[in-house]
Amino acid sequence: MGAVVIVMFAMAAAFFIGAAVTHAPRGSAVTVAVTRPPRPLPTTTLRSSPTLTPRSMSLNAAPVAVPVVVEIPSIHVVSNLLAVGMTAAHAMAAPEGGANSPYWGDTFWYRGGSVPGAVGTATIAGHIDNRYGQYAVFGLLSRLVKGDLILIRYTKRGLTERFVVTSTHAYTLAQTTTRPVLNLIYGTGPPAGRPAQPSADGLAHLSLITCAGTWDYAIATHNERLVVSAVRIR
Amino acid sequence: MKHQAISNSRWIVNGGLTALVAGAMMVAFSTTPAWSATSPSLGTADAASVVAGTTVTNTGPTTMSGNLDLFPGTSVTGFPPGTVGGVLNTGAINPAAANAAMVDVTAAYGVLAGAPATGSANTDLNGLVFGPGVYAASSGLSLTGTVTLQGDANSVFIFKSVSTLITGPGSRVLLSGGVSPCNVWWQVGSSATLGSTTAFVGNILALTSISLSTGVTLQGRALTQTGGVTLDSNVITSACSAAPPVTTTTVAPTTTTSTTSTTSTTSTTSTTSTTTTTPVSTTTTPPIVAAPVTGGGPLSPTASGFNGTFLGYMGMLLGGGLLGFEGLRRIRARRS
Repeated sequence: MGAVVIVMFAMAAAFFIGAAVTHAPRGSAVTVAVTRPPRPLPTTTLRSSPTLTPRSMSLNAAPVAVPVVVEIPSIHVVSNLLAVGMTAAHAMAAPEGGANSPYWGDTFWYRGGSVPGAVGTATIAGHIDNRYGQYAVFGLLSRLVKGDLILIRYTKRGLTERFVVTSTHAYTLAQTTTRPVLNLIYGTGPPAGRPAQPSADGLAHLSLITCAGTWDYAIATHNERLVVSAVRIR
Repeated sequence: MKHQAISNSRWIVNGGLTALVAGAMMVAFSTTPAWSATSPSLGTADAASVVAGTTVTNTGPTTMSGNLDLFPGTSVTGFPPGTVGGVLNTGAINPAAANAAMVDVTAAYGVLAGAPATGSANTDLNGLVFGPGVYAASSGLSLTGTVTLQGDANSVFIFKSVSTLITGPGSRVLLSGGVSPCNVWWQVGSSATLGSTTAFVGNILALTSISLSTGVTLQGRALTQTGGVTLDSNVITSACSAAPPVTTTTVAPTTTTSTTSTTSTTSTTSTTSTTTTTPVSTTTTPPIVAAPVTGGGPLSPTASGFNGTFLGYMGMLLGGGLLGFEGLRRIRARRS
């Protein structure tokens, strides 16, 4: 009975590890233990076309929670992720709610763009402050500098995508409507009315976005947007 | 094959109408020789859709394929919902590029203003057919219907107005025979106002201001120097990047049969729909045009950490400490 289990284990190990073990004598637990090379680390790469929300889901639908946690250790952000669409004005949605709404602490992923970690550009937004003017989830985003780490944890699959900040730049509201800046924020697909497109450089990009500048009372929003660009590392 | 026959017959009717209009109205087209005017260079403004001096004001979902240059002004409003396909340069953002575009527009305006006229265009242009040339109006230019520009891909059309250019609602500029939109120029001494849903073609260089009413499509550029540009739900596409109009078919206008007013309307409409470039219709999702609104209100001063409350507490601690020291000192002095 015990020997059968050991043989099965050896065969399973041979299946996983490959040719290195297939030539080892089987049936002996000692031999397997000695010749087995270190197990390869689980891959942190998403499969080719991952989805977090159904593709049929309208971009006008309400936000839905997705099993992802956004962590930015250098500014102490640990946040749940909501998949959001676009507003009637064709801007990325950023739900607000009342003064005590949980939305001030949530991050928002634009589901018309790429999934974080896929080759393309994923966009994650968060509020800078709440109704009281207190810092919200991305209140300290402007303190990120080149090289800072951003972790996207897929809690259900147990894998973590790691990104490093490559640049931060604040754009005026008018600038954020121009195609080059829109391409930087969302990738080339969504600004052209298309689904997410693979990036030209073959890398997985991540854009974090929040408000910046000063509050413009006339239009009831901040007059600038801070865009933090990051790229995936292994 | 059947489709081919239908389209051919349409162009015969259209060509017949053109010949009829040309013959009946004795316009410049039939008498002017093929004059080889040249288009002025726009320099860096070639990449622009809109150049203005003071302000650019937009309402509604305006789109433009090229740059928006504003110099020396800094006030661009209405973006979003408007979008700029190229780069936005103003007196505050990248002023060097905005200034360069303005300089080039000024130079092109001077070239156009100095071009010798080969014909006049003093009346309403509605229903007229023009061949290539330079047409000057001693008063304002007006268009209440359709004007046709006939020539080939190298034909240049320059219209000069000492004062205004005004089009009525639904007016159209129709290109015939393969005329390139980038060779159509409108030099306006003061201001240009295009009425709602006008389908206009050409580069408008107005000294003061340009106003595009609701739904105007402009296959060209709106270039001003001293004033502003007002937009309202417009589509501005580059004059040169568009596909050549379907009217390049070389069907000779031979017959002039049954050109009633109804057929002229339908043929005009169908032709115009091919010359005005509309946004791509192959979209599967609505395009995203703006960044999210990610702030609940003005940042409170308490959010900064080092603030009045913090200083107050520190002051109380310091004051309390000093009082304590003084009290201890007095107690010790009394004991001794």
